Amino acid sequence: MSKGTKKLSMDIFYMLIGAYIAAMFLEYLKPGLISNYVDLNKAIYVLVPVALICVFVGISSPKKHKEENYD
Amino acid sequence: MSKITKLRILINTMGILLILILFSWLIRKDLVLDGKLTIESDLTQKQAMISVLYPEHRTKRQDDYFIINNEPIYFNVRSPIKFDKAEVEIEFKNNDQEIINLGIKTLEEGWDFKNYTLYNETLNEIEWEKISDGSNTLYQRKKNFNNLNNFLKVSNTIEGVSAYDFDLGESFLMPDYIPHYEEIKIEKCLRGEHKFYTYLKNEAMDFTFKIQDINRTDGEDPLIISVYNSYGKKIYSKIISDDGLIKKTDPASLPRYISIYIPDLEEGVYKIELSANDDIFIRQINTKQQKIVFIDRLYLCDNAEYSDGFIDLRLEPSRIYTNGRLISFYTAHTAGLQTINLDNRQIYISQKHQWFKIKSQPQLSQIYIPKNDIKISTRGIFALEENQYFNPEIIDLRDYSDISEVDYIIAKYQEPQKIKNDWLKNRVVFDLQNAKIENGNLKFMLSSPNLNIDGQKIDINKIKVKLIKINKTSTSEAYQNFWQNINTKFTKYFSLIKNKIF
Repeated sequence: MSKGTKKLSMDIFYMLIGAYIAAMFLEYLKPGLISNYVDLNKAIYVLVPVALICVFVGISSPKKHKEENYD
Repeated sequence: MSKITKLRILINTMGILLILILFSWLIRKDLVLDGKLTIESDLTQKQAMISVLYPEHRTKRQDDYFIINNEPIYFNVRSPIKFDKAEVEIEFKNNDQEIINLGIKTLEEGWDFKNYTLYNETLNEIEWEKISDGSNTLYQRKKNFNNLNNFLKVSNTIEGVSAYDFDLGESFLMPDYIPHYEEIKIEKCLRGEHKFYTYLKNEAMDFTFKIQDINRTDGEDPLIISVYNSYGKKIYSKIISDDGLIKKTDPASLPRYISIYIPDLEEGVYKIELSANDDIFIRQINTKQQKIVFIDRLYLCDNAEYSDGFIDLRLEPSRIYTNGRLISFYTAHTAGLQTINLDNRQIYISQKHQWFKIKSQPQLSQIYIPKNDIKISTRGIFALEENQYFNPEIIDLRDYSDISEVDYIIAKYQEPQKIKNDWLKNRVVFDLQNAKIENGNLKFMLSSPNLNIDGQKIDINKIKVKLIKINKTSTSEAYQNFWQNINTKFTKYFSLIKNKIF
């Protein structure tokens, strides 16, 4: 996996976490603002696997680069 | 700049924009800029905007509808902004209920719901001339008015008018009432929360309550006294805090005397509310008012059950008077099991923690209670002495009975529509000015006094709530209010964290 792809994965991960925290905070400030229209419990089922994939891609070791270095 | 870096910047920008667009769309939707929000539920699926019917043990799912077998039941509806009006439409099947009420929680302290009628068998069957304007109905013994507006213009000047859930703006007066200035002692022990009406004419409101706290439950037991005038406006309020003995192992407190003296009040009916839990006993009421009638509920407590707390109980039978049509009795103790006499008919209170119900005659009924320690509930009024009885609700008929002096009934009610088979549909319109919004929710209550007798039930199929804001706010004003609210809450939250840390 290239360095760029890894960084992009981590960016998406941070974006998802940020959006979720912002949504929870807005929900706290005005109850129902998000939960009236988006089922936050169901959203978790989509967000968590996507975030996990992003983290997995983001922290996976860049095999190609290592091989290139050994060369 | 490499190709992948450019792609990364593009995806990041798009992602952030997408999130911002999503949040702005949600905020815009939540502001309900067109002032109308319709929420519909067939009750089969959970929805964010409307709760399920609760408590769940009072309901039972049957195919595509719910059976309600006990009352009251509640449901919440989300109200993202403050609306002016709520139109609640319910599809239901009535199984022998005379009355079904739909209420909304109000801003009043404690458990307070403003109830309107969803179904009233007596009004449906009344054989008078009927005119309806979609939410109100005028019943006329003889047809004198062609529309409601003509009637309302003159309703204050004609005789024989009564109202059912409808505010005619009139107040009850007793032309023959002459104030006496002698003090009356009501030496009946009353437990917990009570509300009563009294009448004043050229006299000060003068009450002294002797109260005691039995300390049977842990926690503080305050008493809140509120006085309302005939227009329903609160004119006086007093909080009597606990005497300091708060544990259930503490002994009963010594008597305390709480006085209310309000001079210069205009003639009319006043409502006094004594809000307290069941640890508070009103041992005696001294007053110069002659007319006192209790509203909906009485809890008599002159019984040996409470001898551990009080040594001076008057262990003698009680005779009370009521205009209620359906009267319910309840006792929590073995000492309260007894046979009660209602107009020479007997009802045996054979079990604790169970309501026993009996129907009374349309006229004033007399109830004889040999042992007290009984909670009595009705939709009507109670007097502890016959000469203290008066009925200020004659102008605001809560339960219609064929009163000969009534020629017109104006009701905030319309007859239900028949849909199919035995299913009916009716609509109740609520003014939300005094409705309580709790955590962004309006709370509705469905009740029917006979529901927990002999397995009676109501079936509910569908609930549709239309929330309407009559005076729409402009887009800029709506956003301004939204950010102001967010800012206030954020500042509060921030200062809370700051205080906890430093």
